[in-house]
Amino acid sequence: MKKFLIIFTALAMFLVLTGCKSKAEDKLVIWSFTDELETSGDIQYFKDNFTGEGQKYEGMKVEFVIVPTADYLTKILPVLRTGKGAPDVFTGELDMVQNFMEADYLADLQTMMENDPDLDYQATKDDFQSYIWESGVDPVDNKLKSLSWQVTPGAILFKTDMAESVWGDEIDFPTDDGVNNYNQAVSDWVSANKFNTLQNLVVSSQEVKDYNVNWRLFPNDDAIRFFAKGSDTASSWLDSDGKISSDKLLEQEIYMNTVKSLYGDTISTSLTANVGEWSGEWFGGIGKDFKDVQGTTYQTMAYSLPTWGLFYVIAPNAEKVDANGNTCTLPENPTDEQQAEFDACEVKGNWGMASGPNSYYWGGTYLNIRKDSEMKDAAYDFVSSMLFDTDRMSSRAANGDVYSRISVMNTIKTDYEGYDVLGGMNHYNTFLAESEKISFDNVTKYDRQLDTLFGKYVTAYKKGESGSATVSEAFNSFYDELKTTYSDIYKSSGLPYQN
Amino acid sequence: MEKKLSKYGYLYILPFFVIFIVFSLYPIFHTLYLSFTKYSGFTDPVWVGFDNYLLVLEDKIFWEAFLNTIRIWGVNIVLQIALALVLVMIFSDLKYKVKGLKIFRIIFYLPNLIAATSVALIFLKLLNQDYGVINKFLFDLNLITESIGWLKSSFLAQLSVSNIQTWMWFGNSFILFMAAVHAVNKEVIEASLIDGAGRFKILLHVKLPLIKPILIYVGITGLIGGLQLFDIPLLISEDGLGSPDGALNTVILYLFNHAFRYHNFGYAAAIAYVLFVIIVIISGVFLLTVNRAEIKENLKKKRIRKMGAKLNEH
Repeated sequence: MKKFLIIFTALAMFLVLTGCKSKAEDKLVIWSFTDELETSGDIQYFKDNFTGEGQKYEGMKVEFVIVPTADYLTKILPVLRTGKGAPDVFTGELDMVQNFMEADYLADLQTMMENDPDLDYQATKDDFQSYIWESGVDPVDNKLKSLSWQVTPGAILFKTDMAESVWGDEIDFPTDDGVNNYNQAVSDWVSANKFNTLQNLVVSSQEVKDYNVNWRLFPNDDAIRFFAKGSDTASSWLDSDGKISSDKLLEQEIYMNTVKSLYGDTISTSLTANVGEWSGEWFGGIGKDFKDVQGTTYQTMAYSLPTWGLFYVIAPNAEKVDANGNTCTLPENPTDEQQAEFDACEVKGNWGMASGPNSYYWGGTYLNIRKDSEMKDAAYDFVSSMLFDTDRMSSRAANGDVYSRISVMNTIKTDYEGYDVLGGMNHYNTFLAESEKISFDNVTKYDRQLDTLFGKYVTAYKKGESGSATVSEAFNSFYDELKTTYSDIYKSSGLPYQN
Repeated sequence: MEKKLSKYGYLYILPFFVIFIVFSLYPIFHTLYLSFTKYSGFTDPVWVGFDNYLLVLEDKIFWEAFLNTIRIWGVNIVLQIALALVLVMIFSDLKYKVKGLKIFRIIFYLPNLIAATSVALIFLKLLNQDYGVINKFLFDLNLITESIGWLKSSFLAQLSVSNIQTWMWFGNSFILFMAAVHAVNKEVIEASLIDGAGRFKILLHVKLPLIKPILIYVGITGLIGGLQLFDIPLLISEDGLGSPDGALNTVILYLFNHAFRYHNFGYAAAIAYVLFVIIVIISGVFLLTVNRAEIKENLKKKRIRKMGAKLNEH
């Protein structure tokens, strides 16, 4: 009995310490922070075409691990550092990719492509949206190491019927007759007249509120954070000497004041609806309206969202109407009959999409191969099936992705008949036009963190909090925190308003 | 004669020690190591000596965070213990013998069983200025004419978090106090009743002194837990950075943001160690003050013993 217990304990300890893992010989491990590789069938496609009987990697297993975004870096960094249990292929967002490159975790995709007899490297390069390609090049050795199959440019999605109510009497506001697509025409008009600068966004917000005291242009000021840059030729957070850029900081001042003019303590004093992003009211506004504590009904006109936002946020929540044009609502715990009635309703198709003051992107998943992976060939074939197999891309297009391959998009765009949520407007045109304006020159690995850090003082300034009551105070509070947080990019003199 | 001890015993306790070393001791020392480095998580840590510690001591935001934590904890612990004691007074009353203690114990403890994320979501819904249930309720009763920004001013936001903490933890204190009061000899309480002591006097002069060890235990664990306050502020502050006005920025939230938002693991580790030292000092001072009388007594006894020993020598 004693011996049995000892053996049992030893075995248990061994299992605990080794993590009960024995790595099979032939296994391709893929990590991602989203489930899209699974839901879009990319993993299955690889299994079906590469690991079946008589195929290139017969019998090879494919392990797909999803780690939630919030934990992704915390989980993946240690395994990348040690190489133990590390994935062969892993995804990342743009700022993560910058960090992965700096830490030298990524395999040289460019050389692999050049050695691929079935691939014309130069032609492939020319066919990618340039900002996607440039963002994957490692500045140290100028080699391509990371690439994304998608582009995720954003736009201002708005309700054309509300826009017509507010601005319908203004000069050149489009009318129904003689226009190819009404929603497109309205979108073009607001892009040029209402949403083109930060100042105009404030003016437009005021106009919407003046038209109807319970209407707001934006649900909250988060919606304009993408336009902090103000133009497509904005500065980078870092100067060429690697220190924080004064020009960038001065640009932020305009944005800070814009946010402050939109802000009000309560919904009645605010030019936005003061609803939190992703809250129930925020979604309510996408449908038709929502109520505040006093029972007043509010409506919001516009949301800043990228490609995926149109398909996964706006479309499922957009207003539906019955044959008489009345809004359909689904009661809580609907009966089968009510559900059927609701399903029979059609989307109102009152959404349009316009460009804001500058182009922007939000999200976007990049594919990376680990430098020390032992399964590089299979990893390359997997990545290749997602990035270079244009036929597969075209057949995958139904999920709404906008691809980074120009040739694929040209075909899809031309064949497309229009999106019902957008009243038949072709969203590919707008998104692709936006993505062509995006430049990668100004992206740094600090972008996300500095946006967060600076954003904290933008919020403090708009609320007039102590220590950030004036622009100068807000800047200096930011410098104080920058000094402890990123001492290597901090400058002790020469910055705007610096004490 | 010495008894022969079996060596097998060590094997049986081995699992605990191995797991303790791997999952507790190693992280503690690794954090200590990290606190002397600059480490982004991506590249190798770079040794910087005491730089991080010097920065922490000079860091205005760190000390503000510390004060915020103390304020939130202070209000919470007072309310929590007071509420628990009032309930103890009611439920341990010998005369009235309130019924349903078991059920109330469960009800009071329930908030503690809800995950902090859910608690935060519930209170965000309740406290929202323009869309929250509490403001709606107050409007419906005509108690207010303008909505109250529960999470918008520093004072109200801190008070709100204190109250949430109280709501989550008073049941826990109540159960501990109740168990301690039950262990008190009933005759003592009956005797004081006969001597004419009122309910409040019995609580203050009989029950409280007798359950002092439990009070100290609740105080110290409350302090340690309070200084590590993190989940509710993270989830309830609008930006996760401690807004409004940095009022909900607690020490651990600040540490968390440095580590996982700004990728400053070295600095975060230094904050952890500074906080550790602060907790040790405060707990020590706390223990010394409440146990002053006992310590004095012990010292006196020791001195007498020593003197006795000396006398014996002569």
